[in-house]
Order: sequence, then C-alpha cells, then structure tokens
Amino acid sequence: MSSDLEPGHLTDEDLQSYLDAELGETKAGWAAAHLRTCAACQERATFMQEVFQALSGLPEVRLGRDLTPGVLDRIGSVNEPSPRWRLLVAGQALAAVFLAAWLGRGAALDWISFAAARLQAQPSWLVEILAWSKTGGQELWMEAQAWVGLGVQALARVPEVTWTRSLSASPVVFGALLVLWLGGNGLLFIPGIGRAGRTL
Amino acid sequence: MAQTSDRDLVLRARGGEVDAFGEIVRRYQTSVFNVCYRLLGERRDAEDLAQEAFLRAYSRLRSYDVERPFGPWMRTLAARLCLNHMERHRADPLPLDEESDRLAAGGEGPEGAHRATERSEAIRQALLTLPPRQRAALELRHFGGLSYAEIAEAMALPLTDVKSHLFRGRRSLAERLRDVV
Repeated sequence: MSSDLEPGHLTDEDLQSYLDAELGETKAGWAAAHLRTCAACQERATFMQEVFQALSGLPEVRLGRDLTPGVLDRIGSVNEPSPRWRLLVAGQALAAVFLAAWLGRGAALDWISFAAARLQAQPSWLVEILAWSKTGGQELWMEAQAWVGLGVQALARVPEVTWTRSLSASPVVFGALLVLWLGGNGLLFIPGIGRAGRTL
Repeated sequence: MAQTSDRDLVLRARGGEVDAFGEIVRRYQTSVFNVCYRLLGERRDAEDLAQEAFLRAYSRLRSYDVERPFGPWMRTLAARLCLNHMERHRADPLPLDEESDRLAAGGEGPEGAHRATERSEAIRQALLTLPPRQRAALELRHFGGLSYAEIAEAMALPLTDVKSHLFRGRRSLAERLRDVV
C-alpha cells in the first residue's frame, strides 16, 4: 500500500476516511467519482475494505469465568465507609455531646431539680434516683468541665449560655442542632462519599 | 416475559440495587472482556481489566446519560482503561520473530474452520504488534463503531492524532495481513 502516488489519486488517508464515511461532502463526491474511473485506486480501496472487514469480523472469544460475583463483592466493600470515616463520625458525635453538655449544663441541672421537685410526691425510690442523678450529675459536670474547659481555652472562647427553665425553646434548639449534625454526617454514608477506597 | 431494559437496570442500580448492576455485568461481560482481550492479548489481564471496567462504570453511573446505549459507553470505558494500563506498563509490541513463529505454528490442517482460526489468530497477533494508541483507535473504530470525533473524545486526543493513529495502524495491519486477507 504505497503512498507514492501520482497526483490526482486518492491518498491512503483520504481513501480510509472515505471508506469510514468521514470525508467532507465535497471531497467524498470527488473520491467517489475518482474511484469509478481509476482501477489502481479501486484495487487499493477493495483491499482496504477487506482489511476493515477482517477486523470487524474477528469472532469473540469465550469468557472463561463469570465476572459478576467478583464485581459485586468489590462493590459491596466499596460502599462501606472506611474505618477512618467511622472514627471521624464517632469522634464528632462525642465532641457534639460534650459541647452540648458544656453549653447546656446550667439548664440540665435546672431541669433535673425541677423534675425532682415535681416528683416529690412520687415513690421514694424515684426521688432517690433523681436526687442521686442531680448529685452525681453535678460531680460529672465538674469533672467534664475541667477537661472540656481545657479544650475550650485552646480554641476560641465559648461563651456560657444562660438558659432558664422558662426558655422552652432550648430543647428545640438543641434538637435542631443535633438533627443538622446527624444530617451532615449522614452525607458521609452516601455511596461515593467516605468510601473505603478513598484516602482520608 | 420481556427482558428488563438496560436503562431500567441502570436506574435501579443508581438507586442502590446492586443486583440490577449484576445483571448488567452478566449481559456485557463477554463483550467487555473481548475489548480487553483484543487490546491486551493476555486472558488473565483481560479478565482483571474487564472487572475493573465494571467497577469504574458503577462509580460513574450517575454521570452516564441513560438515553444513550449502554453497551458502547461500557466498551469505550473498558478500552480507555486498557489504554491507560498499556501506557502505564509500557506494553511493547511483540517482536517480529516471535510473531512469525506464532503464525508459522499453524501448520497444515483441514480447510475451513482451521483456516478461519488461523486467520483470526493472525489478525489478533497483528493487532498486538501495534503501539497502544493505534491499537486503541482501531478497537474503538472497528469494534466500537465510534466516529473519528467520538474516538478523539474517548482518547482525549486531537482529531488529527486520531486520524494518524488509524491511518498508521491500518497501514501496518495491511502490510502484515496481505497474505491472510
């Protein structure tokens, strides 16, 4: 298949483009007209068409095994969040709980006292549990304060929010913040986010 | 019972039905494997890359246009993956001596099926002697049915480069297959 042709003949590239139906309209028209009259180009075109047909007619080879189980297994492992992502989510959960406790410690103690006072007529065991909760809770808050305070001082100052029992919106606010946090972290578990194959 | 369309299977797979994607794999695994086998020439490598191609397709299902036929999209993805694999591993074309030995190994035999098998093997071996990009361009054109522009997009190459790869690849094949075709 020589490209050293006399002027006026189809080049190999134009011949192939013509056979691929990729020549522009004008050039294709010229090529068709030329092939009708030029025996040499006809012979080249015929041979190239046979090469095209030999390629396109190459039979398929049988696949030796079913790839489906392997593919589905790896899809399953890809969809699971990686351990690092799980730790990140767990860490955020703990931090959120401590932060909420830190901000609402006053209100929490208030509610415990309020509940204890309202339930004074209730069985003594319940009153004891509530009283213990208040005492134990106070000790726990003091302990948590020491740790959380250290962390807070290292970051920007977290103002103490003064809540009172009359602020019925406080549970709603905390609940809304919790929902927002859960929703944001829930996005990590959508396929394609936080996958095991991704590097954290 | 009418077979579920590829479009419906893809939509279900997008929704999280992994079994729907499994059905897609069953339908296209042979053709995808053949794309990889024609390009790589090694059965095991072809199976591995075919599997990788399906995993990549799964991760890109959301960007796939469901109004387009799934088969060509899948096979183009597989061809691109194989091209990257060949270039990464710097696959060298087979030495001519080795190729001659393979072609000569056929020997005499009954007509018909044996000759057809020899012819097919000769074509496969001739394809494997081509550089990766020429091989990939021919694969996408002759087996994928893509236009020049579509091949250019699939291979991320200028149109002129695609034409050059096709032209040179076919010229090489024509020279090698002159006695076979």
